[in-house]
Amino acid sequence: MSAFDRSERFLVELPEILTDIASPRVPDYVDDLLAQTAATPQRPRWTFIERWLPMGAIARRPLFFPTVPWRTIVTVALLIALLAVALIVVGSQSKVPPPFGPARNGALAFGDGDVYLRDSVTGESRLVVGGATHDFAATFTRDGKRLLFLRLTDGSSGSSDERITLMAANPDGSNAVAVSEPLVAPDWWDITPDDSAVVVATGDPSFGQVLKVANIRTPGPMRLIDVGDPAMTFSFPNLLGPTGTEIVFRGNTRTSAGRRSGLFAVHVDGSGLRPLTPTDGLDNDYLFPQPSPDGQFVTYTTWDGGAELNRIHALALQTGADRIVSDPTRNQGFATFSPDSQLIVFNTYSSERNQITVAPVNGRGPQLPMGPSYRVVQDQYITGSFSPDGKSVLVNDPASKETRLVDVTMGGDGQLLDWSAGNISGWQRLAP
Amino acid sequence: MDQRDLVERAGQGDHDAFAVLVRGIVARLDAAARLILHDPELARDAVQEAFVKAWRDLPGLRDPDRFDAWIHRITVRSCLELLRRRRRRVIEVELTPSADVPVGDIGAFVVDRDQVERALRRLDPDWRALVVVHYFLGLPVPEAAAALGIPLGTAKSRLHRSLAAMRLELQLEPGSEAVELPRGQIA
Repeated sequence: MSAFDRSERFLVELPEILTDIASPRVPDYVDDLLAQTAATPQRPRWTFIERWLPMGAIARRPLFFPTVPWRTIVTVALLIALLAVALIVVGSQSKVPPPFGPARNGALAFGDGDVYLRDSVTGESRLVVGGATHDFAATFTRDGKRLLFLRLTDGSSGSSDERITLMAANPDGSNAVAVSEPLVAPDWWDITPDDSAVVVATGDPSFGQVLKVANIRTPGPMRLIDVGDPAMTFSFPNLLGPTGTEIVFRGNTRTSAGRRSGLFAVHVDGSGLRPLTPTDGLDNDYLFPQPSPDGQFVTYTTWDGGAELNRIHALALQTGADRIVSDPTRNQGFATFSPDSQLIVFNTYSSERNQITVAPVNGRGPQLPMGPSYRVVQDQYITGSFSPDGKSVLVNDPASKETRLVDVTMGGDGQLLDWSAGNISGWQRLAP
Repeated sequence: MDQRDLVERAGQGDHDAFAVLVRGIVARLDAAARLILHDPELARDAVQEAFVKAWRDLPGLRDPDRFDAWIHRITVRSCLELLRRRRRRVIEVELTPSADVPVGDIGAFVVDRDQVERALRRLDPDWRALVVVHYFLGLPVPEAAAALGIPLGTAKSRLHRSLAAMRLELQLEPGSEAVELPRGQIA
């Protein structure tokens, strides 16, 4: 037998040799092990961030339909063509809300299966994307010229072969085109301030996700964001205001202590990776990072194993000061900022009840319940999202299909709307 | 009841279902841990930690069909984590009683199992884990890479170099040039 033959045969026999060496057998500590697990409480399902993806927070992105004064423009164009062009440009720009911060309330996007738009809280609903496809999580680009939504393009929902494609269409639903490849679990995405691209975290969350960029204007192959750390996995990418030049995300990478998590920022092209926190978190730490629109703070949720509670932290990006802003006696998490960056809306929950709550991020004020508390229904979670003007919170309960509009200064049960979707995914932002 | 049902029930707090799952896979995971760690006590700790974590976090497993891959990943990472924490601990060498050796045509192997064990032991633990995950647990290279949290290209490269090093150690490639790779942490 030649050296080559022996080498090849070694490869073929290696699994059997390893089995022979290890001689698998049921170990004698199984009963101890099972006693140990029986004495260990399971983490409640609702505390897993992967199962709690408030689309309202995903799709709080800006939207604007410019109202162009055509008659005036045409008249002026007859007189001074160049000046008319300049007026169009200036006029259009002045109507666009800044990409981050307060704006005027516009239409609402909702639907799970088909996509609907409602002109306002009290207006009429209209179907914009229907048919046999399963479409959901609709929102708009920041300039309002394109409607973005997710489409189930392969496999069945929730299965391992599920593939989801990011779609872009005109605001009326026409000319829908795929702007991404079919993706595994595109759990979180955000739009660049210039509306040219979407940054998506994709991949099986149990094994680590990557960041990819989909071009909205000229769809083509997606670009993988290479941050220079091949061990890094990504979740919850959000563009950091007020400039949007950096992406804030939760990263998990190799450290001298093993794999650990932390919050990071990186430029959209992958350069300039910088840690925002120590990279010392375990699986349940530094979850759901959400930057404030003014770029001053990032909130995140961390599991406190000792107290068996989730905690909300607020990290000041300028100073690095990090403090807990949630009630120390209650399970609270998954906070997002108001448009003016002063308040946070979050979930207060137990095994039985869910409650949307608002509090000042600086801790100088009471926590206000928004709407009633709702009964926990498996895999269905209430969401709370600020209106673009920051004066109200829209509370959605998908289980009861109840939607309420609650004043942020008053709290309480608010206004029960006479229509409900239970799954509102985006609120249009208009120029103030 | 199939494994998917068991995983779903265990994820909803049914410990009896979890016990059935454990008894079905613990032998193989314990063996994998012993191959990676070369220490039965450490292997026991790693497997126990892995199953406690699995039980605690099972409600968060999105796809029940990925349970095997998920528990493999947890176990392998638990092994490597323990190894890093106890790097200076003296390794207890397990001598498998001859009665435990499965009856088979050992002589038919091209190499002696002791030689393979020595060659395996000389690998860096991260590299050894990759060999074990791929060749013993049978995970395809992409899943093995995911289990170890390393890029696919790195996994392929490490696997290739690990095998080259083992062949050299076993003198299956007497003419091969030396392979540079991190040496194992014996203790």
